[in-house]
Amino acid sequence: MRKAYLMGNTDNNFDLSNQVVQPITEQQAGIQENKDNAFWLIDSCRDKDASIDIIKNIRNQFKPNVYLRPIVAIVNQNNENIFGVDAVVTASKLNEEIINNLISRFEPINQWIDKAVRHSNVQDSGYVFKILRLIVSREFEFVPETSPQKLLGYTYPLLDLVERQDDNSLFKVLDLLESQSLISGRFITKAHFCCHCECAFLNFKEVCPQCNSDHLNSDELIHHFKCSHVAEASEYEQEGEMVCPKCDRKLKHIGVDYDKPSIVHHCNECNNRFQEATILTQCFNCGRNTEPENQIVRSIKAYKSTAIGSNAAIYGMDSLFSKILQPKFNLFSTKDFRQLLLIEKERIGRYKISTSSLVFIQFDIEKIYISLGANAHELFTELSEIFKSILRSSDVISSQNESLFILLLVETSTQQATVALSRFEQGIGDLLTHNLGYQLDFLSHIEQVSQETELDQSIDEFLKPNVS
Amino acid sequence: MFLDNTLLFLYGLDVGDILRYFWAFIFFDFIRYLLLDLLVVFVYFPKRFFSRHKRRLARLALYHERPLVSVIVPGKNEGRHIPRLASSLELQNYKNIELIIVDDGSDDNTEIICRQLESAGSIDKFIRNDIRGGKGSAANTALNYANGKYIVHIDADSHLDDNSIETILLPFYMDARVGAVGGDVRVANTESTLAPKLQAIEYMKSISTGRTISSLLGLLRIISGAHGAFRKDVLDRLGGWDVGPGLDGDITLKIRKLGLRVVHEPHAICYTHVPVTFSRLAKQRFRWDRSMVRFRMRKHLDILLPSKSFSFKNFLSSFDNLLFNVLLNLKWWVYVIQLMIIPAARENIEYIIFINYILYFTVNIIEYFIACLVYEKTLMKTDLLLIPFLPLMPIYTGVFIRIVRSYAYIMEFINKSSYSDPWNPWKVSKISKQEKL
Repeated sequence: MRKAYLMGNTDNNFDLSNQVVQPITEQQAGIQENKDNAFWLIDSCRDKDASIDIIKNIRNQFKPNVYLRPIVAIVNQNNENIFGVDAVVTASKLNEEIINNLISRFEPINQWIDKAVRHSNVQDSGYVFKILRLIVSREFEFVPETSPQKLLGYTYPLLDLVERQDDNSLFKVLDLLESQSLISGRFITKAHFCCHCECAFLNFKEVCPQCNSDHLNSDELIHHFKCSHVAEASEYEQEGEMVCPKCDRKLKHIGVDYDKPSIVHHCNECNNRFQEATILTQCFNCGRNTEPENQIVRSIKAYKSTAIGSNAAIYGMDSLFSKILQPKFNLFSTKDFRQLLLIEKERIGRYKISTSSLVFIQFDIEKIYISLGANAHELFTELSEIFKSILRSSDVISSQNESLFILLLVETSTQQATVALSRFEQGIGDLLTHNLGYQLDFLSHIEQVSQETELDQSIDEFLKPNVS
Repeated sequence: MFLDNTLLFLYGLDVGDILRYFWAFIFFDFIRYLLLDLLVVFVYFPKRFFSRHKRRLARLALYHERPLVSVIVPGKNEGRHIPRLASSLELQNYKNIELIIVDDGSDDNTEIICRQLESAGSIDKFIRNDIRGGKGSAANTALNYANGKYIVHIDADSHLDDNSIETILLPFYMDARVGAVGGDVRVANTESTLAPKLQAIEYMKSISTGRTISSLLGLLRIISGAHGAFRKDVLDRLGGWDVGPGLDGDITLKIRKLGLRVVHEPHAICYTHVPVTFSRLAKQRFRWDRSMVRFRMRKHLDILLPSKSFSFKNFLSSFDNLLFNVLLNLKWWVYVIQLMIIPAARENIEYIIFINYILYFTVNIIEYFIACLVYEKTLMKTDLLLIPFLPLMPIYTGVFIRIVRSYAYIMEFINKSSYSDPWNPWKVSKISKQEKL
């Protein structure tokens, strides 16, 4: 029997038995893996901000058992909106029956989580993978909601509190997942975004085509049939009556003795008169003025998982980069790589005449996904070319996970490997700086292969400074 | 054989017979067209020669002042002509020009074309009236937004010669009493069909020579809408154009009534597209001729009557117009009927027609060459290519135009049909008719 775990700054005395709801501290929640957890119950009645911090903290854990579990917030009023939760309940209505309903409601999600954990209980550090798992585990369609608090104007509430680079990252990642057919998108609407800062809040305004001022007035043109006089309405106004300035007759009825053929704008700054005002958009965030046709137009979609996505969410996602490298270099699986390394160790130990090197390379592939979204593919193709420049056909490459690559350079001294690696680093540095506009964190390490070489130990040592 | 018989017939006539059979030509057309044309040779050319220094000074004064000139173009469904017009303005050697186009409720792609030209800077101001108000109101809309000291009114289906704006402004700098200047209108599409070729010859005679003479005599009664320059202060005083059709003749008369001079400048050239079929031409003339009756004989009848503001020249200008258009047209029918009635004439009708043809043909040749002289250095090869079509002119002007004109006068006299012309929106026509405008 599952139960809810209660957290939050609460002084409510809910009449709930310990079998159904068990209080837990935030620290415990992060460490303990409560397999009987049905959902996290967060009391946000008194301190909403604190509860949001708790939700954020849960979603940013790496253990699937923790961050994937449903979250329910206790609120004062039913219409309160809290990002990142699966459901809200009002404090006044909270009782055991409701808790039990929620437990059974979330059962399919929890079963899915259990299944995923049974398969592998490694930590999900990657943002892309976490988003995929959240979408797959929930099974429903993730529909975007408008939100004035978000720079992008739209958000997917449940995915919103997973920590990321910026608001935009979520959209890029969803885009990437869709391009890989892991999720499918359904068109909802189109929206304009600032081409400088991607803000969705744009002020569309009519401006003078001559001076770009938006200090405009509009006036109707009046055509007096009898004398053919045409002028702006203000010129006809005389002491509350409409009198033709050309023939001094009173205007009587529109359509009978006069009409209004068009409207003319008047710029109060430069005195220009014109009919077709220029449309400019001003960004509420960065304040820059841009023509609407130069702003970014994006489709806003609702997403749900696909069969491929459901599979990948349990068994792991093939790295897009690995997929590109595979046909070019015959990327070995970890198991095969270990086998080959074993043979090489034996050979070196036995003949003691040659030296081979192990090269560890790690860089933040995910950061590239998030920056480039579906366009990451092109960059990865170029990246694979750089890999090619240091690898010979006798060398062996394997990717340990999305970001960690291990290369076995046979018959290569550490000095030679250092030269090759520096060339590689130079190439990658140039490529990424050019494409992303910033330098990517990059770690590498060279180790000589000996009989004592232990791959796991070497990896741990290589990653150690990174972990701290 | 026929020629011999014609000569025999001619030799057999005494003076009385000649007057009886050919009075129409001798007393009217010969005097009206040929003798007046000779004025050009003996008065216009010497005058132009001796005023060349004055023209040079006028040009200097113009460039010294460099006033802004507003070129206004009202029109409906004329978008396809506008790019050519705009580029002909960009090529003007006088540069201080603003181009204002008013779209009078077009229902084609005129607005799209003009908005593009406006954003590209080829048009300075484009005003689109969603509801059509008629040409006068469109011209007045343009006038309302014009900033120039001079207004040049051009029809949308026309384009200008490179020095046209400069040339049309010179008369203002030669004589301060000039209120408006008419530009020369020449046919742009002579190469298409027969109708434009004949109209081209007609324009040479009636506009280039005819208006030069009227101007010389101080009797110019029309500045064509296709190409005319006006002082902005004068137009403002008049409140711009009134309800059409025939608003170009109307505004000219109003300027004359202010005591200002209106002159014609044959070297300020505008090329315009004329109807390419005779049926369309007939429709156009039908409209023009009706407006003659409406404006000369109804709206501006006061010119012909003695009053405080009576001016002999204005009287003569209107009178000449009425005489030689309305009365001569009437005369033509009298002449035709007379030939039918007199038995001797009826028997020799073919000789009389042939002799008349030869007479009118000869006059046409002389008029054509005088027009070529008026053109001076602006004479083009295309003008000379019209020579083979001169033999058709007596039939064109003598029969075709006469019939159209007679029909137009009768219709306007009898049922004021110009008030139901779709050229004006019906709501405007209704008011015009009610108010007897």
